[in-house]
Amino acid sequence: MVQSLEKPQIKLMTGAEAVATAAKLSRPQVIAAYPITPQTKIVETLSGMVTRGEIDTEYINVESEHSAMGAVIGASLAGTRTFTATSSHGLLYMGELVWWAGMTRIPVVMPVVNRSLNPWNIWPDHQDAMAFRDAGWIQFYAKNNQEVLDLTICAFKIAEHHKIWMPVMVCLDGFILSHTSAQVEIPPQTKVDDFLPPFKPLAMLDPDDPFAHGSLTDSKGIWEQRMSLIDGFNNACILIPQILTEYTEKIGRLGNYMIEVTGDIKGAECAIIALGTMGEEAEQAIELLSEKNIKAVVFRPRVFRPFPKKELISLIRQVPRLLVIDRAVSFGNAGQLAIEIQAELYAHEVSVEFHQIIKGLGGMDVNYADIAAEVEKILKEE
Amino acid sequence: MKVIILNEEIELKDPVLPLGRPTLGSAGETGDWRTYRPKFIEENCIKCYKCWLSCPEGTIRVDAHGEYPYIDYVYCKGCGVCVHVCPGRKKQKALEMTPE
Repeated sequence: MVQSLEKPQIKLMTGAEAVATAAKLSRPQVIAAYPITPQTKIVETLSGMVTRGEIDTEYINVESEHSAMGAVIGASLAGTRTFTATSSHGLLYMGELVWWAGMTRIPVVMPVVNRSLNPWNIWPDHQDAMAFRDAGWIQFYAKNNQEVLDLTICAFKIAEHHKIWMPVMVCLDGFILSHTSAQVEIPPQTKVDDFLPPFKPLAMLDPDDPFAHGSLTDSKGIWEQRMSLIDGFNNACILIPQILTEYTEKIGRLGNYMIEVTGDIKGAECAIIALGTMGEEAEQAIELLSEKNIKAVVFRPRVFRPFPKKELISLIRQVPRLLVIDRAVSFGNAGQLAIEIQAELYAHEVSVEFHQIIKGLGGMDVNYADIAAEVEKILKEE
Repeated sequence: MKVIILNEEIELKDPVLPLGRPTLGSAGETGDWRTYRPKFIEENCIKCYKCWLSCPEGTIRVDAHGEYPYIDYVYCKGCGVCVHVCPGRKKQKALEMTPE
């Protein structure tokens, strides 16, 4: 691929290719990943780039996702920028080491192509990434291929910020994004290099100054680690918008918001809250609703961990009712997004009419007409 | 690092990394795990230092001038490996396990 040095290039590419392109532009020094539908195209594209010599990266062919995460943890501790990607069952198989990376602060970037869990189903929902909501990873949910590319590049800068220093998941809906081609603006390498300087390790394994990483710890040590992780997420809450601002200034387009607001919040009768592609579908739904003289607005959190509490509450205070759509369930309770929003409503004593629905599990289609119909149903019930 | 948000200065803390450097007793004073104590009987010791070589925790020391082995009971967990390997003198072991 010949690319001009200065001007952005616009290409038609799938979400998986957008991830691979973002990874290439971010110059990871070690990549270890194992293919799984619908993430396969990411691994395929990256290994092709390595074979053709387009990126200077150590590509480790591993025998499983568990090994993939093990390899990148080791490589990261050896002082390199690392990248892997997975999905669904692969993420579960990686599970133990996903927690290891989260709890011991390994700044690895991992796109997760959201796919349903058991029984066998390859279609998208958020159950896989939500299972690792509490694993100490920053989680982004992208709405389109462009955002996938932009957030993946930002993810490296966020993960490697010395006041954050933790792993980042960039979640993209399987097939809806990963296998659907859309127009993507690719920033020139020079601009990405300017935004993302080479990896600077906080601690690096060194034979001349030996230390053990993550060895046996007493309860006091664990307490210290966990409290530091809480501080790290608080830092991330402050620093993520700053890093997104820097990206927008140097490269463009992305915007620095944690929650994207679409539509006119003034006079809105209902706010729709959803993650990822359902959030984008909701943007179409409000156009359909406005034709029927219903004013609605969409709040799409694109960062789920850290949970953007302040931003969310200031937005929710301005609307009379909420419709939260989840694409995953915390069985025994409700959708994860709904649960967390309800907690914030109580904590801030916000009185708002609250509605929640679960949609699109196992890849069931959720289009803008479905979402608009749900909003109409809520308004009719009163 | 400090940031100012809404005129409020916030100090961003540094991450605590789980790094461990070699140190004496990094897992605490493990001697209190012991239910049996290896007791040293000097007259049976032939100074072969098999106990020193075999101790999995390195709690047996030998003085510089070829003296008798010495057990650090602050860290000895009482596993009994030293007693097992001790050849002793005339089938009389120089180490034996005694209840704490």
